[in-house]
Amino acid sequence: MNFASLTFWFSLIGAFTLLSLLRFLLRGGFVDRWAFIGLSLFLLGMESLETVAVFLWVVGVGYLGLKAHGRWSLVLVGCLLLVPLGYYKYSGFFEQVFLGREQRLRLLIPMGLSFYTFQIFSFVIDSRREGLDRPCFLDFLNYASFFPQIVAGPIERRSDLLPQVQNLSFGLKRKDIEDGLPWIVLGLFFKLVMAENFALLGDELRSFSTNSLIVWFDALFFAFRIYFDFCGYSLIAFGLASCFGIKLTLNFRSPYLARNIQDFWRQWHVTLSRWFRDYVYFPLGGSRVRLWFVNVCIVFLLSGLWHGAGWGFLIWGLLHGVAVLVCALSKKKRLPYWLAWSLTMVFVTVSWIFFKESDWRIACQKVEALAFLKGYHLNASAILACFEGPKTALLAGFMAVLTVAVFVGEFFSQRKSAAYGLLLNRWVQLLLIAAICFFSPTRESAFIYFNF
Amino acid sequence: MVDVEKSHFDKVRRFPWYVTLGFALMMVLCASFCSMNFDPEAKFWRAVARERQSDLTETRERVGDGPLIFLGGGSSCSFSLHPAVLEEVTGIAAVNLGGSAAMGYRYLTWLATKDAREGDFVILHLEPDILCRSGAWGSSLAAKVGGFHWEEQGQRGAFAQEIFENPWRDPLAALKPGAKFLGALTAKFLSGRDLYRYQISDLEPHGVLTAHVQQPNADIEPFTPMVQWLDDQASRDLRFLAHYAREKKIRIFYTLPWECFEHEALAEQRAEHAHYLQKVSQYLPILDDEMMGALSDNSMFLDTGFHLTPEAGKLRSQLLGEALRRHLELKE
Repeated sequence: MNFASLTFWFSLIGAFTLLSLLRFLLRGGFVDRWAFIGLSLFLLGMESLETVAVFLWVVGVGYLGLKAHGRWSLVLVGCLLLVPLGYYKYSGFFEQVFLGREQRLRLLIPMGLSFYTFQIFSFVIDSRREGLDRPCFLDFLNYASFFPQIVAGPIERRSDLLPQVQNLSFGLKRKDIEDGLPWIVLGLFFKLVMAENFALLGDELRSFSTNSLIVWFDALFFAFRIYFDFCGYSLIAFGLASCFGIKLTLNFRSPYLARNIQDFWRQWHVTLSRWFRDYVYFPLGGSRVRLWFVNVCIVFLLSGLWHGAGWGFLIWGLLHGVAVLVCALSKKKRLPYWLAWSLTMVFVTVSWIFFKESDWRIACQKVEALAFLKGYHLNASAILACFEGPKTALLAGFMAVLTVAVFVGEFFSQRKSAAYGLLLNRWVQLLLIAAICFFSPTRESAFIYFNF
Repeated sequence: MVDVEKSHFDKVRRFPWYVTLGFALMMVLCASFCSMNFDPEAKFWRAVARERQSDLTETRERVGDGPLIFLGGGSSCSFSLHPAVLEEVTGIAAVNLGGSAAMGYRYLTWLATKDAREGDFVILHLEPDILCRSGAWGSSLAAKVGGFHWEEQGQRGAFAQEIFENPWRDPLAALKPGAKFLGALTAKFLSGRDLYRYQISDLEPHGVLTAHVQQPNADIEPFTPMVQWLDDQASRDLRFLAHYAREKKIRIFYTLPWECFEHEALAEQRAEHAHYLQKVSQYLPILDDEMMGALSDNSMFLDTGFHLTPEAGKLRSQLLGEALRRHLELKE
């Protein structure tokens, strides 16, 4: 379910048309909800039947879990929910760490597994905690499988999404389409123009050396790529859901404008941060216990582990945990915005190196290269030499201009308390459409977060 | 925190949906027009294809009912195989229909086989990289040069899922020029440089290309282990190609292009190539020579480590002709 691929859009339009016809023939309130399930499972099934089977397991366990009484039955449900995630995502890593065996052939993680497992987990806990009734299976399935967000979030809570899917209408209203379309255009622009060109730039950098400039470029290109990639996906999901009258949580709120790491995590992958806060940090005691800093580190270590099974992800998580602690401890010292922002950006960019590199030793070498001044040769020819050819250097220059323009847009939008508002302006939208048609590279690639 | 979602829906003024979609459609058409008409590489290869088509018609008329040798492959074929030399050695007229490796192997094999009749020979001189790398079967350049119908060949050989996914993906992707391409084109235009490195005047009789750019120190590669011996999709396509050849009663061969490597890498590289050829030979007969696709004398190359000088190309063509002749004699 790659929103950036033509296959997805053609399949969506085809399946939607067919199901609308069916809905027209079989009029009735329940048809709408079945039609949505059909559409979502069809789009998920295009990936593989295994993906659907794993999804149905998690949904089945989650729904049965709503009936569980007592602490231990809840623990059992939790464990059963986590079985697929543990098997596909972590078994190889833990085998390597605890049994000292070489990792077997890496298993392909079913699409969206980490996201819908967490979403269903939260549903079970919320229902029990707040003593809420078990919804009918149809609504629960729609809550879990709603196609715009099943693959890579946002991870919605029961109270936000369930009431909306209970009133789903399998039809398109003009107002909804016009609400959703600008978000889809902006998301496609972020993914196809920004993320794809940064991916191209990353691929066409000269291979790793001790040249600090190359390491900087590599880290920067990845930092921008992952932001535009994931944010692009989230905005398309937001727009698609809006087209069907569902309001999802905006998962990104210009995180690269954050003035510190705490703000960064309030604006980056918002629903995951909230999930860890509500289901890990608070139950551990949050900031009310004496060892609150340990809680912070646990949350960020788990967040790293959620992103992937590897030492690099753990180090990345730990670095962010420590940075959040530092921020929390130095709250009273207020730096000027530009300085605080620069420090945050440098930290975030450098920490992405651990996230990107599957081998943490290479990541350490890269960070080491950044620390030594002798690796820097700041002249035009040295900068040009980082790229495989003048065409790539030219593209890097163009992308730098485009990125600045986007962030200026985000900055002024944020000042008006409307994330991305300026980029949703109708005239800007026309420019974005033109940019998608002219500036997106011909190659097609999946979203980075699909791997998680 | 401000409820950003709500504030947006209230504040933002929008165009009606049909205006947005209409504008998007118009932009797709504009981008595709630019892409198809202003891409100097595609323009060059389209002109080459036209010239070669008339050359092929002439050669067909000349030989009457006699067989023809069709030479197909990437630019290594276009620059390195001389039909006149092949004809001299084998007594069979030949035409060079090589393109660019960037077009992908499916288009290149389609180009080489589409006009072959019963009794004709097709020699595929495909760079190993495009048969070993995943996803190198097609490209936007092929779509720009060859339109859409060349995909048919792939469809017949592909599995159902690929038929569903692939046929229109690359041609549609070709409609986007891309920032890198537009930037490079603008820079070349402003600086007054040639928009593409080759000109149609570089095309010689029988479809051979020659470069007016000579880099004596062409790319000399160190030992380059192959990503894999043969890509799965390529294996399926080669199996289909062999079946297609039997049905059409044309004889298809594979031969390895010559590439420039460091002297120290020769033995290892040739061993690597031998493995690769073993895989390809499961589907197509091989015409090989003692070079096994690896040379170290860079004076034999023109502007890249794959494009032979006219003299080296003639030697290559002679060895290829002899290999074909030996093969035919053995058959007889």
